[in-house]
Amino acid sequence: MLPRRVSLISGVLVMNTAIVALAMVALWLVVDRVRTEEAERASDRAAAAIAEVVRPDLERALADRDLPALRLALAKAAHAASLTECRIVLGDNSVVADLETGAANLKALPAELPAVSTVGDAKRTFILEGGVGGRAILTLEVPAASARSEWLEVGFGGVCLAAVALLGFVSVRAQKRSMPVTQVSSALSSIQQGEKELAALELAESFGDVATAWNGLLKELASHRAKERFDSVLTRRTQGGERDEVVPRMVDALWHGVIAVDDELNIRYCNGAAAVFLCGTRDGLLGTPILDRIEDPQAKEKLGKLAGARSRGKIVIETRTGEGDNGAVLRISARPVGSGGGAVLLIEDVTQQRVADKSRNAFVEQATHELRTPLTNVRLYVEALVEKPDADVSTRSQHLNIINQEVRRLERIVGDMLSVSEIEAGSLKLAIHDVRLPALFADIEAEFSAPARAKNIALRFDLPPKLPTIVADRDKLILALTNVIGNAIKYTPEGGNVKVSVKADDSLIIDVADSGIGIAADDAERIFDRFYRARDPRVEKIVGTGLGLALAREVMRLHGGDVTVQSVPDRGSTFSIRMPLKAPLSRAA
Amino acid sequence: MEIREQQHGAIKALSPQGPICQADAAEFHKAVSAAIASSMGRCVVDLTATPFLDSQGLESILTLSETLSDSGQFLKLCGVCETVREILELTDLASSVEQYEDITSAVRSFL
Repeated sequence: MLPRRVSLISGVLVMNTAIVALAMVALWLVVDRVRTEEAERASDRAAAAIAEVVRPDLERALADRDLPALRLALAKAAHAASLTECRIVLGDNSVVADLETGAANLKALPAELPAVSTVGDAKRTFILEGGVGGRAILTLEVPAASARSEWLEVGFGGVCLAAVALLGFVSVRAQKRSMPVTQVSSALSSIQQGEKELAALELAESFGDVATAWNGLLKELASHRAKERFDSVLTRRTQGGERDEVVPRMVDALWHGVIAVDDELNIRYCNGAAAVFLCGTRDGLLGTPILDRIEDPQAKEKLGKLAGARSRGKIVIETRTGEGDNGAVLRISARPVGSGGGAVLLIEDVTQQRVADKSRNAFVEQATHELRTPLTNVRLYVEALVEKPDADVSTRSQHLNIINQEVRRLERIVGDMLSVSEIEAGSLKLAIHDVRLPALFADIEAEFSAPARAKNIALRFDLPPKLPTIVADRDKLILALTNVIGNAIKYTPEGGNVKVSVKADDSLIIDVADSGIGIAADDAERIFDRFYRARDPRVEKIVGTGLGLALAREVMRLHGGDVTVQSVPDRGSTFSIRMPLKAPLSRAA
Repeated sequence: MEIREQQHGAIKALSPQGPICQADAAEFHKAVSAAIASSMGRCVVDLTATPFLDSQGLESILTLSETLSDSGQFLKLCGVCETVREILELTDLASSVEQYEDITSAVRSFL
C-alpha cells in the first residue's frame, strides 16, 4: 500500500516530462549540427566560385609583379563577394595582400617568388600561378550563410510550449482522476491504524465509480463488524459470562473471598481475595473443583453436599490451610443459588480471631486460677477462725495476716485486669502528685520481703542515702514496680538473688536484677505484649496472667519513661525502669 | 538493610531498621512481598525505626499497596514518624495505606 501523500501517477508524469524535454534538447542539437555542416559546405562552394572568378586578374597581376594591381584586384573581389577574410601569401609566409590594413608586410613583389611547400585548408586555399617567377597562395573566407531559419526556431519553440502545456494538462487531469485512489489509500491507512468510525472514511459520490465501490465495501465491513459484536455478546450471555463491569470491581474490593461454583462445584468466578486464600491465581482457579482446595476431610464432605443441589441450606465450615505461622484458618460460608445448581461461597480469614480466642481463653484460665488461689486461702482461714473462736491471739493474728495478704493479692489481680481494660479503652490516666521515694520503696520492701523469704531468695534494695520527692502517679508507679519485682521473685528459683538498685539524677533509674531462669532472645521483646507468656516450659508451670509487664511498660510510658530488659537464659535478667524526674508540685507551687 | 520480623499471633510484623532509600527500597519491597505472600496478607509494617524514605521507598510502598488492593486488602503501617507521615500525605499516599499508632493497634485491626 502506498503511504499517505504519495502518488504514483504524479511521479510517472514528472518522469515523462523529463524524458520529453531531454528528447527535444537532443533533437535540437542534431538539427543544429546538420544545419551547421550544410552552411560550411555552402561556404566552401562559394569560396571556390569566387576564387575561380578572381583568379585570372590576380595571376595576371602576380605575373607582372604589379603589387598595387594585385591588391586592388583582391580588394575588389573581397568587396564584391563580401569576404570576411582574403589574403595572398608567398611561400615564405610573407603577406602580399590582405583585407586588413597593415597586415601586408611586403613592399614589392620579388622577381623570384619563394617556393610554396604547404597548402592549408584545401577548401579555402587556392594556388595562384605567378608565371615563370613562382606561385602564391590565395586564402578566402566567405561569410557563412545565415544557417538559422527564424521560422524554424519559432516553430520549434511553439512545439515546445505546446508540449509543456499538454503535459501540464495531462498532469492535472491525471491527478484529478487519481484523487479517488488517493482517498482510498488514505482510508485504508486509517483502518490499519485502528479507525473504528467507518462512516468517516466514506468517499463523496462526486468521485464516481471508485467512490461507489469503496462506499459499498465500507458498508459491508460495518455490517460484518456489527455481526461480530452481536455474536460476541450473544456468546457471553449464553455462556453466563456476561457481567456488569462495575460489579466485579466492587467484589474485587472486598477483603473477603467470593467464589461462584457451578453444579459440579467447579469454580466459575473468584475475586482477588479468594485467589489469595486458596493459594492460587484467578485464571488458574477457574474451572477447577473447589474441593481440591480444601484439605480438611470433614469440611470437604460438608461442602460436597452442595454438588447437585443436594443441600439447599447455608453451610459454614472452618478449615485450616498451610502449616505453622504461614497457615491460615478460613471460615467458608456457602449457599446454593436458586434451583439451577451452583453456589456462592464467602471466605473469611479468621486466623487472628482464633489466635485471639486462644489467648483470651488462656487468660481466663490463668486469671481464674490466680483468683481462685487467694480466694481459697481466704475461705480456709476465715473458716478456721469461725470454727475456732477460742483460738489464741497469736493464731488469730497469723490467720488474719494471711487473709489480709490474700485479699491484697486479689486486689492487685483485679487492679491489673481493670488497668488492662483501661488501656484497651485508651482511658488509662495518671493521677499526678508528689511521691516520696523512700516511703514508696519501704512499702515495696515490706510487701515483698515475706514472699522472698518464703523462697529463700535474698532480696536486697540498694538505695542511695537520699532519695528525692518526685512527681508521679504513686499507685501506678507501685503497680509497675510490684509487677517487675514480683516477676523477679516469681521466676527466680529458691536460693537465688534479687537486687533492686535505684539511681536518681536527671532521671529515675530502677534496675531489678535477678538470678532467675532468664528469657530467650526471641521472647525478650514479646514479654511486654499483653497476655504473652514466654515459651519456656518452666514458665508454663508458674501461674501468671501475662499482663504484668505490659502494664508496667504502659504505666512507665505514660510517665515519659520505659521498661527494658537484658537477659541471659539460665543466668538471670535485669529489668530497667526509667522515667524523667520532674520538680515536685509542692516546690513548683 | 536490617528488617526485623516478628510474629504477633497470626500477624507478621516487619520493622525496617533505618530509612527506606535507594537499594534498601528494593530489599524492603522484597521482604514485605514475601511476608504478604506467606501470610495471606496478614502483615504489618512497623516504621518506628524509619526516620524517612525517598522516592524509591515511596514507590515500593505504593506497589505493595496496589498488590494488596488487588485482593481487597490494605497495607498497614504503624509507628509512622512525623516526617514519613508528611511525605505520605504530600504524595497522596496516605489514603492508600492504613496507619496505626503502634504495633498493638495494627495487630488488633485484623480482629
